[in-house]
Amino acid sequence: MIELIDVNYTYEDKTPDAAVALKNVCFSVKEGETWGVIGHTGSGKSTLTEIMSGLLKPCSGKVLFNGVDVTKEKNATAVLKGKVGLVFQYPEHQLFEESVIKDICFGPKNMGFSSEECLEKARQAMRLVGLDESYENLSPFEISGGEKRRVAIAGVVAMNPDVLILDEPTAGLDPVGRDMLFEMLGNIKGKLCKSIVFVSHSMDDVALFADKVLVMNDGKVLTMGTVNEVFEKSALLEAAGLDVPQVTRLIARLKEKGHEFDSVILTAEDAAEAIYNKLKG
Amino acid sequence: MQGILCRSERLMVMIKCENVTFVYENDEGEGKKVLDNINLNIEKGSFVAILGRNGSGKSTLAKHFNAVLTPTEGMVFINGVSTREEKKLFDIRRSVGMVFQNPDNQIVATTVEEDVAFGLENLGVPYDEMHERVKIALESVGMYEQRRTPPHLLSGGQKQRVAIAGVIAMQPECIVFDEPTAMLDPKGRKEVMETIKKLNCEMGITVVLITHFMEEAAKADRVVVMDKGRIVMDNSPGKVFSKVEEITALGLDVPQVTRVVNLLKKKGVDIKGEMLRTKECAEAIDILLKERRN
Repeated sequence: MIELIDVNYTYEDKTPDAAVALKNVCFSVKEGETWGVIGHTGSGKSTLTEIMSGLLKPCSGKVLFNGVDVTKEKNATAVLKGKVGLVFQYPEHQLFEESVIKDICFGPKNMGFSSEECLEKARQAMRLVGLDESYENLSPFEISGGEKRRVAIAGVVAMNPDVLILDEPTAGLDPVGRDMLFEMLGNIKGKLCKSIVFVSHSMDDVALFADKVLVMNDGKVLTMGTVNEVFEKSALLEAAGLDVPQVTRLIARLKEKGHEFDSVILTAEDAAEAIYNKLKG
Repeated sequence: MQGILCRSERLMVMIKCENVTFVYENDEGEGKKVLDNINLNIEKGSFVAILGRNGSGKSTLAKHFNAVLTPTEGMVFINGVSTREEKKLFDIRRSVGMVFQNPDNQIVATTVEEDVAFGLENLGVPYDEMHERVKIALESVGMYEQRRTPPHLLSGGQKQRVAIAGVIAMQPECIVFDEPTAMLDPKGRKEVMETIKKLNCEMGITVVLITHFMEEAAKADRVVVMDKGRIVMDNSPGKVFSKVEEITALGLDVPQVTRVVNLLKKKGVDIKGEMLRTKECAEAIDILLKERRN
């Protein structure tokens, strides 16, 4: 669906303050995929999300959306509007309308839908993020932080984007809030959007929720692949200032001590199972 | 006898909460009880982690520790001084420093050392002493080399360490950290946690750490768990995290390796001890696997 070919991006290009953010990035998202993007602060993750959603235009390289090169268009944002939805970090800070329903309608309204269509889309989005009708007329400022975040996500989801991109959607949430958010994304996927890309600092979140992982380091793609393929390379990740899930580290230590485990193990349940089988087997 | 502490208690106890209740009032005058009869002593030199889900009252409680808020009912004592004594507010805020979640909101100056000096300048500390204190503070967080760097060129973890240095320069006895690593990447999180541990072990600063990361709480010597404005658990990390079901019911997690061990125990595997860290957990399982092989 989205394909980035040799994308380069430099902030303040051709000035003394030039800062290279992306170097020759090639990356593509196919229909139905859920990608987790990891990388240390300043590795280019957020710039990547902004390129993918058309907010930034690459200095060189191509961004294809369903095969069409959007960098050739005068206004890439307009082409991608409604097709690629971006949820920023701490999106709850961007709520502004007087009621929850109005806030969620804002996106579809700007896309030119009639009021009835907007309401229908907004209500569907609310249901999928787990907010019932009683929230419709509340002010976005009198609901909890977790609820605000869901309203903000609903506002993007209501535009039915083909690809939903989220920049650190779980920052500041407690474990229950985090689980609910991922459950909610699971509900949304396949209904209101086709693919999901999320940026995260939590390796556990990526291990549990993504099928594929893109690792960024100093503006370049360090590695990518399925969750298992990527977390197998723990030395590479650690060198890039990243981590592997704690369970994966536990298994790595056991391997160092001479015990054999076949595959990469990411969750506590799988680890317990594998260790138990070795003890009894 | 409410309000009076004996002398020995004053020497040992950094923060004392006595029947603390706090009610937030909205515009219509409706009250919401955020803290409900909290009793808590935090000893000098200790490292206490406070856990709880969003809205459990953790941050509200922390704001009582340096008199940003005063209780609706009950008393909070810092070094034996009640936070209601307005004349002592200055002393209280100097002895308890606070570090918040977002480093960008806490940094004011154009270079690292100016930022750390900001609080001291406001106190009117003499120039030479100020230099010395800034140097010590930056060295203790490992940021002295970058003292002339503009803060916006630093990573999140570095910025947060600068914010911590700004608090250390004020020479507090206690620092309250309110989710200091929530916005950091794994490397930044590690840097900040190592700094916090060092402040506690080497400089003897009392640490109160509010966090959502169970692996961080596992590094404290005591874990206090809050739910709906009350303290529901208060024990060593090992004891708290061994109650996997209870912790999960409170909307919290245990460290992932603790979960592995707990699952093994459920399957009837005999593992003893409190398994909080990857290393000790790997060692225990290694022993079991080797026994089995022999």
